[in-house]
Amino acid sequence: MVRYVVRRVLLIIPIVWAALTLLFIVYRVVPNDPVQIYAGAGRVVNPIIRENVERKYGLDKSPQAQYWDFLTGVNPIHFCGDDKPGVQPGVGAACLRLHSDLGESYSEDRPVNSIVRETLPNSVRLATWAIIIEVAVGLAVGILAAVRRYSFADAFATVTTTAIVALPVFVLGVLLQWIFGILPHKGTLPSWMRLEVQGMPEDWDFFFIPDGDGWRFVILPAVVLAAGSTALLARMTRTTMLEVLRADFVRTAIAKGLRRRQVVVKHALRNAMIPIVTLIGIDFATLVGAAVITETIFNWNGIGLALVDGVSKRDAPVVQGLTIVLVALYAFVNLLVDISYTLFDPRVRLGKRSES
Amino acid sequence: MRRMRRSIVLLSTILSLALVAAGCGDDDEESGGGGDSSTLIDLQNFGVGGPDKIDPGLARDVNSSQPGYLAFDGLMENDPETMELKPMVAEAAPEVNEDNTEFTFTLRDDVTWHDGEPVKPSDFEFAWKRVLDPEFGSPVSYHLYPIEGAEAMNAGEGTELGVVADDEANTLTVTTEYAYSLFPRVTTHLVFSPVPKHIVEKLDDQTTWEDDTMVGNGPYKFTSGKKTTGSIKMERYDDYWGGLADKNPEVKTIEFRISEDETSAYGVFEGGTGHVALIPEGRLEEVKEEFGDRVIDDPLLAVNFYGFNMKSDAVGGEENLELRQAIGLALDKETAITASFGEGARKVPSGYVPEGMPGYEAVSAEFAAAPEQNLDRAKELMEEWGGDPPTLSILIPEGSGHDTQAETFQANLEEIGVTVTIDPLAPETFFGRVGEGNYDIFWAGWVADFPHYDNLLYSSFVTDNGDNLTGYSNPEYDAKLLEARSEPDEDKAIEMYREAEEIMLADVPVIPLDWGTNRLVISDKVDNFVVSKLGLVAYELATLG
Repeated sequence: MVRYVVRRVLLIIPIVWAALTLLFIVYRVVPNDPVQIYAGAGRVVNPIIRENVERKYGLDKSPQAQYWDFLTGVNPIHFCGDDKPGVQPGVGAACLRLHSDLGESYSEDRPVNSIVRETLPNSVRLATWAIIIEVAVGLAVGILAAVRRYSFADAFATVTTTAIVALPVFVLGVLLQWIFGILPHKGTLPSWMRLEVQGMPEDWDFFFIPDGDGWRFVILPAVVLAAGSTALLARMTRTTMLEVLRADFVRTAIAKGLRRRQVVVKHALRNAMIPIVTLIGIDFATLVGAAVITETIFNWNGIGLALVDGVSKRDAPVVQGLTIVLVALYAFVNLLVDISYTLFDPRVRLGKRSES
Repeated sequence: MRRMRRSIVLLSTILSLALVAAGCGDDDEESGGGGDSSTLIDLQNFGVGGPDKIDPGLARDVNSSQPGYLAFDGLMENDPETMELKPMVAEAAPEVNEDNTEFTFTLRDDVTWHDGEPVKPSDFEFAWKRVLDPEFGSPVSYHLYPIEGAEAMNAGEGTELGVVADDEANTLTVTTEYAYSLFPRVTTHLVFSPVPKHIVEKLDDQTTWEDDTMVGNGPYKFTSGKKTTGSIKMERYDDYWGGLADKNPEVKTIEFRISEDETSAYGVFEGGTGHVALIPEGRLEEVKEEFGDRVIDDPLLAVNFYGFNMKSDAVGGEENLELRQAIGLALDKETAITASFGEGARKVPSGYVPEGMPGYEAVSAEFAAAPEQNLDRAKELMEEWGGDPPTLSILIPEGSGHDTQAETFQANLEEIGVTVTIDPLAPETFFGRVGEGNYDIFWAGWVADFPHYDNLLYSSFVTDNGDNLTGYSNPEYDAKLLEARSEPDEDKAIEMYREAEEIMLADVPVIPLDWGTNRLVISDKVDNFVVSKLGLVAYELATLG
């Protein structure tokens, strides 16, 4: 198992490298003038200023040199003696340190690392709350629909989930903003229903809990972000549960006289978990990065928002740096999902081993 | 069976109640504010994206400059309501030598930095040298080039600057490379702000000063750096000397909220939080209906125009003058404005330099800025021109209504026999194409950096100048401007600038299409909200309550 994990971790490297290289090429091949974007503001850039800015960002070097600089900067493994200003010295005998320099944003003039430090935690918080909603509501609805197949509850759940998945995220977001943000202010709806239209809590306790009034900032974006996934999870749960509930061992359990709840939760659900856990796991990684529209509508200072900003400003280092983070995160979460299979299904052994 | 179903229903009910109940809570402020009642929440300045750089030496657009203008006071300042030039940190207008090349400012002695230290002439000298340092990489250093030695310094080729700071006598003497009567006006631009030498010279990296709280000398001080989550906060500086209004601001804190999307930002405003917001594109009527007289609709010193490639055989030069005149008369500017931006969204220009410029008087511009479309006269001019029906290309930036505007004009020009192809370009390829000379007509805009005729007329139209995108060259025009720059009497100088403008418009190198307006909506909790013609808000004059 350890060998399997190590192999998977090492596999992340070529994946990230490929994404990185692709982005680098795109930004150098497609007509792109970061100096005009950074210094221009709608006017021709003075040649002296152009030279100064190019030098500042290393744009006066050849593309190969820039690529090499970028790769060596991103390389997270440093040994003692590999001293760079601002880099903390290594610890321990191996003197190994992990630190990646993702470059510097053209438009914001600060290291991409600092952007990641600021935005990634916010995206993780939002994704976590969305997952909590997704799991609580999605599982409950899915199980209910499976257990009460063809009942009114089942039909209702099916219709609702289809509708929610079909509804575009921004429509849902703006609609909820209007219902919970604007109407209570105007008096059409009671004021205790008022939630914040945009923004984030001032502070967080224990990383995940919003401080004081902060709940009112979290609810809408979390619900909007969770909406599509919840619907999908409900459907997936229902389907998987139905399959499992038809299995022989379930019939045996019922015949044995176990109570319905025990059968559903302890036996059926546990077996249905693998596809469900896969969905949740992949969802988490996706939600962190792909919460772009939600973060934009609700002005949630997360990594998706920063990425959109970077793309619209043609800010290559930001896009490159953030993509690396997301790719690595995604690969890592996938690994965790795979490892979790061993918890749910004792038959699963990770890594190939020939059975004689 | 029944038990399990019940428990699931119970669970879902509890969950939904929990969500709704979380919406309850201490909701005391019914409308306006959304924070401490002495905080003014601004949703418009960064309503469509966060700031690039707010350091006074690096800020390159109006919105990024807004916080800087509140935190830093320069030698001179433009009165926000009248645009009159007034002394600020300088105690009076400078002494100027005969040929307008030497300016001596005597500073006030009661101006302090936010940390209490006095503002000295050497702070100005230090700040300007910092901007001109090639390593600093400032995109706005070119405003300082008229100072002797500045351009060379910025190119890394010189170390001497024509600035003498005498801290004992409290004077600052500036020598310019050439006659530059408007220098006092130019110092109102943010890039000429002083910076606290005693703090900034100790920094390792000059460009990251703005990430932490910058120390300034203006009516407001920063309480957060640029590395913030979602907003930039400023607080009143209680030991301020009073400024132009000779009193401290009333509003205690200002919060500039950053939003990526103007529609959501406006949603926040509608929801009762925030005191000023942008009006989302296309919703002017709706907003006017709802907020009535709280909609601000003021002229902005900005002009958008079509420029001709004066070096091309197709449209440039003397021989094609009638063609350009005809095109100028054929465009139905008012319809185009209505179609692309909404009725009355922008003004139809009657010249190039917008109304509202200090010293403005209407100029005659029969063809370039005709008040109305005149197709008959345009057709006559085409006959006089006598060439074959041409096919011309118009370069426009992608999006933002430019395409609709161009399409309106395309239809207009069909009627006089000119076929037009529209070529939308992404911003980064735009200036490259124009620079190559590979076009017939292009769209461009100019927002004034400071309220003076020179800013709009010099660098864009003087022969071979950097901002001269059309390639226009008229020695008579060049001479007139140089004369204006050497004229010490401001009224006479402005008259000369107007004469130059008329010379230029008669040659029709550009056709002004619209003059900008500033559109905002304010809440009823805000009073005396002054927006200057440069698009800057004078928060030091506002009141809340």
